[in-house]
Amino acid sequence: MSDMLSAAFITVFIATVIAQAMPLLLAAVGETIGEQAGILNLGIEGVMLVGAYTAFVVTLTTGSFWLGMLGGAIGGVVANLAMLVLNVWLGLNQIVIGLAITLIGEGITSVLYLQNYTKSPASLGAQPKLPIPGLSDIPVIGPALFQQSGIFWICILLALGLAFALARTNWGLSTRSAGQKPSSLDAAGGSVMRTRSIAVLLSGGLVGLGGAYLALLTTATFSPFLTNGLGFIAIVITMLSRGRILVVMITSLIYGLAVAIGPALQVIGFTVPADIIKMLPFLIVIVMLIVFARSSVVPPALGTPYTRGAR
Amino acid sequence: MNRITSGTSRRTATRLAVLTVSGALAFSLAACSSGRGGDDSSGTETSSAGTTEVTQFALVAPENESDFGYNQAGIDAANGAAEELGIDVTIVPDAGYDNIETVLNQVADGGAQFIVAHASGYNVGAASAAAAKKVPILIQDAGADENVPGQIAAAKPEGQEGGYLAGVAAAMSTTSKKVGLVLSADNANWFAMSSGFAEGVFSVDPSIQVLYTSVGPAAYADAAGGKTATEQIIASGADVVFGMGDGATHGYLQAIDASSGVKYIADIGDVTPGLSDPSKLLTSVRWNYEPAYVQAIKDVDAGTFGTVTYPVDVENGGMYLQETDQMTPEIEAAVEKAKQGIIDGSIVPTIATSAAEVAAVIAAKGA
Repeated sequence: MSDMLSAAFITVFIATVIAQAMPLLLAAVGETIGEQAGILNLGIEGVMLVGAYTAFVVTLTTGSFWLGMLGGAIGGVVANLAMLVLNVWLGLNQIVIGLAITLIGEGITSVLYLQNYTKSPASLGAQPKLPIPGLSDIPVIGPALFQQSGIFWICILLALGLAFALARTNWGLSTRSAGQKPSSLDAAGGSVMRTRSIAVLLSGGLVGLGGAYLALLTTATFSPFLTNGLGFIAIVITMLSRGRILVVMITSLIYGLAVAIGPALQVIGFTVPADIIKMLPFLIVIVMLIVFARSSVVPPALGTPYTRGAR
Repeated sequence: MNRITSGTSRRTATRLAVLTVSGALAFSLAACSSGRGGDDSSGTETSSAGTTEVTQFALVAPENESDFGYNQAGIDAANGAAEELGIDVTIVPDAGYDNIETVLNQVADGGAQFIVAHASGYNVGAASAAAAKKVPILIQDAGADENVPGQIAAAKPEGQEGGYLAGVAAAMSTTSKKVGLVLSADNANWFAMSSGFAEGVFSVDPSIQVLYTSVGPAAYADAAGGKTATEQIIASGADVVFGMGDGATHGYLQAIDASSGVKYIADIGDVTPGLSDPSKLLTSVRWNYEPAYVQAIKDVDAGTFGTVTYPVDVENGGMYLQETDQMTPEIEAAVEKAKQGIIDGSIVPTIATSAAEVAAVIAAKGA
């Protein structure tokens, strides 16, 4: 067993943890912004798939991973328009709309993929790496952490920037107010509709970006139902993280660890049933729910459409 | 924006939105229905079991030919059998696993006089459909005790034989003395191929290490999981990887593409189009169902369908290694010798039926 734990193996293991964590991180950050504004989007599984498929098609067409990521974000925004119009503007039930978005996203992407790529399956290849001078030469950790693509670093900066903006800026305060007590925001002269609309669109873009990362960098291809429940895990992680994006980052890494450890245990010689391997990430999320459920706090106005003057 | 949220305007807008969404959904459903109906266009006569001469048959598969594997092999074989016999075939791909009895009934109603239910997960539904519609159905991976004269017979791949040949090729190609197995599901055929593969490797060199990993119990289409598992097995030193998976194969191929100095052995289908560098493909354990389908259709014509199981094995050419430039004359000679051993019965690879049994074969090191 010990001869299996080579530097190359540990490097790949760490890189796998990161690759699995990043799509979840982006999706959970998007969901966090939505939830902080009072919008519970159960449709992020579908939004991720739309983002993933759009990114896949754009990258195949243009050959550019960067344009693919942009396409994924736009796809996510477009998919979330249903939540914007039907919930924020028209006040329909968030849960029903969210589930509908999931089902529609799964269906549309599967149909389009099967229609367009059945006869000529396509793969994207690897995104060029951006080694950070000095750091990328550190044994084991260097190649795993500091030889990532530029997209990885942009996504990390985006998450950190949003963490700051949500906690320390007027926009963040308005967004949180829209989820905590929208009538106060309204009374203070802010627009609940505009704040929630921006949050939903931004949320869609980030969730789409998560799907794009999954298709372009984690998997390097698209297949129907690629997300495999990742969107729902993002919702759980968002609720457990209480709006703190740094906690979202840590829990996403724990998820990545859970995904990566199953095959790793098998390779180094443990006979682990396949059911356990597949179950492990979900099991860990359930354990986290049990342990931290009491401390999870959601915005009081979460899931409640805002109607001016309503009691 | 605020004005729309209150009063009559809001109610009207809500109704309009609901009507629009409902209309769009109805239109989509109608489009989907017409798409499926298009597959049933030829022929309306429902055949009966017995001595019907088959002029059109159908194959129902859970996925489509883009999996480079099981589904591709079934669809290719059905098209080949139709061409060989000069009859019509209707392919119904992407049928999934839900409500399969309904799908089979619809295919029978559409005029198919013989149906290939191309997944072992279809066997129960196929038995019911065959009894209800009186249409002979070829099921997968079942024992002879499940045959029903005139209604049900099974095609039975002998995966351990193909796996053994692949193991010989892998052992003669590896330089790191480590080879890997990646499975996307707990599948009887893949366990059998895995045990055969390990024994084939050890028949050449018992000192070679065989690494094993599984993506999940039913992760057939999990490309992301397949990529992760393959990357880790390569990182642990394996320079020949034998991958078994349907849609998960996309993930295996991405990992192989991104690696250097690693050869890939595919299963069942031809994965060459999925690799940016085809020289990374050592070979593929190809499954050819065509002889089984042709014989089954002839047996339907003769009224003897359901009395025998149709093997897909090395002896009848149903299982063989794909020729590539990476298969050197030395490797081909060793594979040919092993093939003759399987045919004459001097080599009988173990048929593992679980991951634990595969692990036991690997631990035994060919002893």
